[in-house]
Amino acid sequence: MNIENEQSDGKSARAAEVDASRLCIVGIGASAGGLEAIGDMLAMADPDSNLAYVVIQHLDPDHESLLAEILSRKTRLEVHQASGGETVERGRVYIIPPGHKMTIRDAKLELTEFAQPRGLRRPIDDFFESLAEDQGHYAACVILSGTGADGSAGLRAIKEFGGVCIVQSPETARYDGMPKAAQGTGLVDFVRSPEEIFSALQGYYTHMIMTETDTELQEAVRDNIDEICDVLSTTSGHDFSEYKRTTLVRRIERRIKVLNLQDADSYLERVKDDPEEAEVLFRELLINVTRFFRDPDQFERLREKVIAPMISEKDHEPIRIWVPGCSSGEEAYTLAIMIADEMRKQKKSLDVNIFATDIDDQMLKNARTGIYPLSAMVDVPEELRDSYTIARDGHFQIPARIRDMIRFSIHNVTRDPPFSSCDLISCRNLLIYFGDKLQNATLPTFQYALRPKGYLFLGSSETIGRFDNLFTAVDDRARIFQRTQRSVDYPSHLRSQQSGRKEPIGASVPVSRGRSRSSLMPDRVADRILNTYAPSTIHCAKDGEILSSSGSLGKYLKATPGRMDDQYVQSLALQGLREPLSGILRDTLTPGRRRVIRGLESRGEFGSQKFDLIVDPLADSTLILVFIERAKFEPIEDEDIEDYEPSESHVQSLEEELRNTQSRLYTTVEELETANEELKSSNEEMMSMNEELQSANEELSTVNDELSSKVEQLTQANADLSNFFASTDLPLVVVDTKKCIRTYTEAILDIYPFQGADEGRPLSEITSSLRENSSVLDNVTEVMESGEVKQLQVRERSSDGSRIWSLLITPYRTNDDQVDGATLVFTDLTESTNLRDALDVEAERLKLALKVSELGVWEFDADRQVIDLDETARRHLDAQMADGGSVELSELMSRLSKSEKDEIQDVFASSRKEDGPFEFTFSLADRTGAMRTLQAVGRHVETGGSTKLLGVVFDVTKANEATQIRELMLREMNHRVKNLFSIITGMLRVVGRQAESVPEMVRGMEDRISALARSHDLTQKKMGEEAILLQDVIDVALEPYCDAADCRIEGPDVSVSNAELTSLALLLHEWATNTSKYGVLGPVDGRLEVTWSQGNDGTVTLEWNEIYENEFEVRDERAGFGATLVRIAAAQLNGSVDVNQTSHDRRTILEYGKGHEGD
Amino acid sequence: MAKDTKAIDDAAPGRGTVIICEDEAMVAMDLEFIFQDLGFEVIGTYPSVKSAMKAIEHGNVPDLALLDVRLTDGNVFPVADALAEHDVHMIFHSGHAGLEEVSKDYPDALCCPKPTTERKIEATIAELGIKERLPDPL
Repeated sequence: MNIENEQSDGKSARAAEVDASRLCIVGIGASAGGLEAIGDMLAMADPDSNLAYVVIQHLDPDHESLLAEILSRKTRLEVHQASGGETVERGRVYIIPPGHKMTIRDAKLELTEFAQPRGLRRPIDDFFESLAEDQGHYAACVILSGTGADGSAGLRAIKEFGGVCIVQSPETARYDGMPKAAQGTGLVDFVRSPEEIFSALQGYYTHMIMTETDTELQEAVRDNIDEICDVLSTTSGHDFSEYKRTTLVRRIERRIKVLNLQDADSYLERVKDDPEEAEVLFRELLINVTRFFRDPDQFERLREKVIAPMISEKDHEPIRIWVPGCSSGEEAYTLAIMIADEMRKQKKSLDVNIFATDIDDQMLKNARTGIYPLSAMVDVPEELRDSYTIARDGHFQIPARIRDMIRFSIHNVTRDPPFSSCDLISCRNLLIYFGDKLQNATLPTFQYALRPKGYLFLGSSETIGRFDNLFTAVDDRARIFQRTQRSVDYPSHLRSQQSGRKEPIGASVPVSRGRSRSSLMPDRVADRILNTYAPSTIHCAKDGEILSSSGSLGKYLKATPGRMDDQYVQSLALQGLREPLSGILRDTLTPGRRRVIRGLESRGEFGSQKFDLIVDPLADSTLILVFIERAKFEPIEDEDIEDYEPSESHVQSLEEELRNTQSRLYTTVEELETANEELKSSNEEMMSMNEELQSANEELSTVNDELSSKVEQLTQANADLSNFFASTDLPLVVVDTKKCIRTYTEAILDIYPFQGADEGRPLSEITSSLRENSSVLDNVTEVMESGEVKQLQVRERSSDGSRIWSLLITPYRTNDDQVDGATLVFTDLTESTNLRDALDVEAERLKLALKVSELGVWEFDADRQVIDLDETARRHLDAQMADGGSVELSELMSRLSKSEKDEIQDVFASSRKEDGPFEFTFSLADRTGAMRTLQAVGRHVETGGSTKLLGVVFDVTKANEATQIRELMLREMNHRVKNLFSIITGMLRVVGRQAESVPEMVRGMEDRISALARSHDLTQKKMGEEAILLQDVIDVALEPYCDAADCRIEGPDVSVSNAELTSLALLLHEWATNTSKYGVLGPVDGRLEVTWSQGNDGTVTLEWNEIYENEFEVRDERAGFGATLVRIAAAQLNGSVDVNQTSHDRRTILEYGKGHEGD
Repeated sequence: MAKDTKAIDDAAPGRGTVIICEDEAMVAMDLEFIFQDLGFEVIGTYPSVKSAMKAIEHGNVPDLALLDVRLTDGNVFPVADALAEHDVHMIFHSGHAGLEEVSKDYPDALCCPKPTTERKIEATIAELGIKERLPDPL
């Protein structure tokens, strides 16, 4: 706490209007049994509230924490294990990672290594303290189940900065150590079960935010503050009205919020009516943070500049130190330890009186015991710990020799008379709570209390203000000031307050236990008088211990060099004095009533002295012994030998014996003390061991919680697995390293007929239905050795032998990647093998079909613009393959004509949008230059995201040619038929002209058509074999009219072309008809000779000779149509006809053929 | 043979001369008769381009020519060209399709598809005759 904070708090209260939804960070501290409590608490948390949670759980540093994982199942909040550096965000839970100390700065989490050994770590305190400093009154702390007291110190910090503190109710906590320790501070705001914690927080913050923005409340508190102080003044006897207002308002406001009251008036009522609340408020107002060696640097300066010189300067005078506002005593003990240590270093033994005062008797009570939570031990520098602390169960204590240096007492620095002649006043962080008026009153009080050149040690944010005339700065930074020589007055404000108040505890209270050797009179004159003129005097305690003396005592006491502490008057007294002294000391003396013993005589080694002894008992039950000489000193003469006085020597021997006994007792006590010290130290060791064990135990119990969660998950996973094993139809068996069966599924029973007891038996002992049983086992061994997966095919041994399995052997790996057996998984391949065989056959067929039909297969990859071709397609396209059977589309295209190219590109492009097959035809020149026509059929296929055109290509050159021929033939046929019609039409008309009657015309037509038909038959018969011979034509023409026997038909083989055939047939028919009508084949007797020859130039000369038996007259009828026909036919044959008629014969000669010149 | 031809020539009145290019003897004969009947003098019947060309070269140019498109030694068009030079009226007579195309090359020629009739030939000649007569009245 410092002044700057106070001021900024005031500011933030005003600025709080914009902070209504500000992030509030809740620190959660837990240890053993905390997991459950954290879970219960966070289960209730609302992710949409403005709270963030930081969980500080004692964790085993060597064990990875599952806390985040476990918690995230229990809460709707996001749970993260902190990794350092993250900014805390609302609605999230951050978990401390194991083995780290976590702090927070500017709402960012920071991880550091622990500085302390295990057992002394207090991560909860560390975090809470940083949280308090970082977040001020937006910080909250929750302390849950756990042993020890971690968190209690942090809680105090949270409270000091205005935060709120909630503790799990001890009866709901599995371990109530931490909650109870927290409650023991008296600073806890709420005690709740884990489920209720969230709503308490929520309620508090809602109220806080509401009242934050409500300056009215603050005003109201301000208005009521004097009345509240009055109430406090009557109940506690302390006046807070001059304390700093902001602190008062803030702390009262907090109480109002905690009590959930509406306004300041009702709180005032509450304080008036409820003394307990007044007590609570009193404590609340006194909250401050103190710790051992707070601000170690400043203490180090103090040691250097003040304590070390003070000890070296002092010889016998006691050191007097005042610690006002000591609270729970840490500051006072710190000084005591420092001084004790410094004395040890300087090998000095001085009396030290530290007056530690406070107004809170509760705190003082705690302080007196010198017992502190173990967690505070880290503040004590390590080198001092062993000597100045004693570890006890969860606590440590300051040893008695240090405690004895300190007097704790109730004292109000603002009201009660101060201590005096102090060497040092250490008043840290008290003035900051005071208002100006109080501060101005207190500093002169300090000046008064200090001896000249005494020191004042203030807190790091405190100053001497305007009192620089009273103090000079020794070390400004360390806040060490020195009193000036200036004379001082008793503080005026205290004078007026002397009466009418409670009995103040001031300098008049016994200051010393009496080891002081200061003279009775401080003045030198008095000294002189006392030592020289006054009677010899001894001031001794009730037991005879000499406290001080004056005057010459050599005549009454004997000097015993040696033990300085054995300064008891009865031991030192000379004979004659000792006896009355013993009586006097044993008597109960009434203070103030002096006694005198007269006529005493002390006898020393050198002489005797007569004297009276006055005994003056004082109020503090000490005595003053005054020796008054009654006669002159009588020296002993040598011959004056003392008589044996049995009575005296008896007493003396008794005393001697007593002394011996005392000495033995002393030795024994010493030994006992040593033994005790040893026991103590071994006890301390035990305690620290116990502490370590306890923290180990806490860590273990956390681990245990985590493990049980893990076990739960494992059980679940195991159940899942066994369900899988039970339900799957995958044949599977797991074997261990010795190939013994570990697990198997039901489905494996087809292969290995396992029985219930087979688990654990070697796999080799089981008779499997596999043919390759031994090879399977070998492979398993191999897999386990190599650690590599193996796949093999195995067959069943069963009679049909049809089942085929694919066996996958994988190494069974443990979490640490060790091979611990193998897993055998079988997959039924029977069906797929059969399918594959069927596919093979099908593929073979297809291949054959493709081959026979000369179909080439092509595949166009649209993405790569490449065509894949098979062997046949390559041949068809005569393509030069680039690589792997593919060819660029552009390369093929370049060999096509433009129109074909366009067509194909169009087809390829459009096919992408349609589904149906397409086809196109194109021509390519092959290597020989011959054009080939190819047809391609294809369709659009999409496989695996890529677009492909797939199809076949085949050679249609021959088919095309055949089509062309057929068309040609058809045209020819058509032509011929039309020709035939023309011929018949012509024939009809010609015959019509000639015939005299219809029957005759019909006959004529018949004959001629028949002749044409017969000659046409010739062309059919001879088709494709050999040429039509002239003889055949002649035979056909004569066939209806004569037997071949009657005629001589002779000539060489002369072939007749188709073009010649019709004309020749017509011509021969005319001749044959004529001959049968009018000639030798008809009415005229005679014979027919038909001969022909062929010249070298191809000219054929055909003679048709009718040789008459009798003389025959020339006929004219032969002219006319027939003759015209013959002439024209001859002309058609490119030939000529010559008729030579005699009475004996009629020679008709036809010359036709190439060499012949027609007319 | 000349005797035979003369007999027909005598019978025909002098309406004009005609040549027939036809490789089918019976058809050629029929056509000869038809033209004679119509009063034309048939001055040549040729089965081949060669023979027809020879006749034309020898000055045997008719008034009218009936041309079968396909002759024994090829298409009749060289003959048609030669005749066109002499402004001979031409009638194409063919079983081939595409007579329309022929008439494109020879716009003045007319067509008679095979098999034809006497009436058709007569009508075609009449059509030619009208064309011929057009300049006459002037």
